[in-house]
Amino acid sequence: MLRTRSVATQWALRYAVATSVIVSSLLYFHYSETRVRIESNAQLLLRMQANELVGQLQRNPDDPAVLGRFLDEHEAIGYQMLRLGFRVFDPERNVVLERGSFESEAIPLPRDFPDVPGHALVSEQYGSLEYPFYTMTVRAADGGWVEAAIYTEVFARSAREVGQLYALSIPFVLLITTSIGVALARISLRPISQIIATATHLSATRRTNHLPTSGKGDELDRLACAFNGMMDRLHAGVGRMRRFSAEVAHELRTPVSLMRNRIERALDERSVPAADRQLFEQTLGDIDRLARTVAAMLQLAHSEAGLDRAQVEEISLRELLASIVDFFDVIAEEASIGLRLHVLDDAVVSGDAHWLHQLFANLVDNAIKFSPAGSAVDIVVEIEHGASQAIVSVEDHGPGVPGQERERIFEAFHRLDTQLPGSGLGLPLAREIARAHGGDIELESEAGKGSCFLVRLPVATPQASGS
Amino acid sequence: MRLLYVEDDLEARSYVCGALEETGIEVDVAGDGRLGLTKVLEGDYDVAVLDVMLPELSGFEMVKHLRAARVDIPVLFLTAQGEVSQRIEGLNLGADDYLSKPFAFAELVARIHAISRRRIVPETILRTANLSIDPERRAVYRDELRIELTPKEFKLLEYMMRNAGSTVSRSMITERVWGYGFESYSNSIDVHVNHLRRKVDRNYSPRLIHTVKGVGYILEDRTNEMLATPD
Repeated sequence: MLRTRSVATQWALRYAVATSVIVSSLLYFHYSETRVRIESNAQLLLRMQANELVGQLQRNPDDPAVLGRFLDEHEAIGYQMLRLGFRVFDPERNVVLERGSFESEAIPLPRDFPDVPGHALVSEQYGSLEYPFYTMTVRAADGGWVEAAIYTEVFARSAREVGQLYALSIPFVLLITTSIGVALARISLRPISQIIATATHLSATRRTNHLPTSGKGDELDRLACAFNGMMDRLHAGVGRMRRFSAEVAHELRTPVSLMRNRIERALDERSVPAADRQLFEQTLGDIDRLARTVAAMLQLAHSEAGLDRAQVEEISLRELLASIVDFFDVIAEEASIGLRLHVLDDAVVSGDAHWLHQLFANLVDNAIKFSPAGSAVDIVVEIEHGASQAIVSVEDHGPGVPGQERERIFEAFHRLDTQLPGSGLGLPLAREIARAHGGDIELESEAGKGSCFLVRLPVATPQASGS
Repeated sequence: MRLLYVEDDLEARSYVCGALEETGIEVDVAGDGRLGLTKVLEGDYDVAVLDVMLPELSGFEMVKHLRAARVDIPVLFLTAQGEVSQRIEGLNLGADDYLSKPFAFAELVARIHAISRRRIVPETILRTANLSIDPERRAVYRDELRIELTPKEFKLLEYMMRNAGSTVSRSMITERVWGYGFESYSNSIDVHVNHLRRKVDRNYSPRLIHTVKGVGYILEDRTNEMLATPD
């Protein structure tokens, strides 16, 4: 849920994982190092004690209490934490003395010692329990042997405790690093959020197309610059395309005009046979269709380029649509279609009257064309509640537009029914005109039930209601 | 009618001249804007038809010069650039009409006739045969009987009456009666005219509203012609 949606989260997680791995390895390294140190200290200690005992045995060769005294001295100076145990042999390998300070805890002296001078880490099993010892064998001065053992449980425990402490700290480390990661990511991504907000706004207004730069020259500045550069190139490209499309349309007009002139002149000749005459007339019809398409292409190219400020005036949608209805009501009537205008709010928009006429003429023309006899086409003008947008809906009860066609019908030359007359540019043109006015067109349609085109236009001066 | 046609394309010029001359218009031509301007200023023409894109002096510049010199000749622009803004610019400069290429000759002829008669002072009562309208009172009479029309029907009839005897094309009707030259594939104009016919023409004699095939309509009294060549 958190994942993948936000770069900030991804960064924070990566940061947390990386930091945790580093911290955990450091802790583990520290833990193992500590263990090794503790062990070597224990070894050193044992060796010192064993040598000390050997020295004492040498000084008091026949005193059987020397071992007990030695250990008691230890306890007296606070070495009781070190559980030591010794076994002293004579040169014939007979045990002379044996005592361990851990015997009070009913832990016997281990049996397993190195045979020759040396040391080993052993684990003695008594009953069901394991007891770790560090054992060592040294030569006594009289040719005998001394076996020394240190019960290492206390060292192992402290090492274990350090390990547990470290292990326990890992979740906290994770938590802290994740929080820091999230905070860092948020802070460093804040300019990106600003870029996103600005870029979203830019695409809506169309006019200004530059992101602000901080001038620091950092990566985000470079991103904004790259984005601005891309917008410039895109704009230039679109501009070239529009000019090209306008030029193509313009260049087509002259030859098409000549073709029309020639054929019309040829038709004026009285000697043209009837069959040729029909051919000529069909060609004239084709030329006119071509000319209308070229005209619509030009119009499209120009509406895409935006409104001509000089032509913009305040227009009452009620009056405009009344004149559209006035124009189309007779053909609707002929086809037994009810064409009804419902003005819920009279919205005044600022725009180019000619273009807005063309927009609604295209929609109403379409609606009538696709309406079955006996149905109605309803045009509703209203102002979106509490908003500054006028909505004009043109609704028919024709065959509707299937889902996959709904967006495509706004594409140039995409036609639902190629049998019906039309250039395939009416709806694209309507959409471009709406967009040039800062609005848009949407289609709501259900196959078999009809289509409803919703035109949204920003209101120039909101009015309460038209009478 | 004497007409000056300024166009630099030789082939287009010959076709248009031929077509206009066939309808009885006397046509003089010029191949560039400067020559055209000289001719208009010196000659005595009823109408000027100018291409917008001309060598030496564009059609727009010609009109600017003409209007500056207070020459009031009706001007019609022909252009390959059919943009609305251009059309409006042309009309603002003082042109009377504007036609995009390609066009039908009949459309051109109809528009030439319409602009050449624009300076006729409107009569208070317009009359053709036994049909008369009073624009001020919005009243229509046929055989002295008052006929009720919708405002749009009245506007359509008034436009046809003011151009009585000349063809008015469908696009001219759209532009002049509805005020906007929007492109439409519908036959709305035909239906409007048919409605009008039903009210003011169908049950009366003589028939006054006639269809001009492929172009539009004409309102005229053809009583004499009909006697000569019965339909």
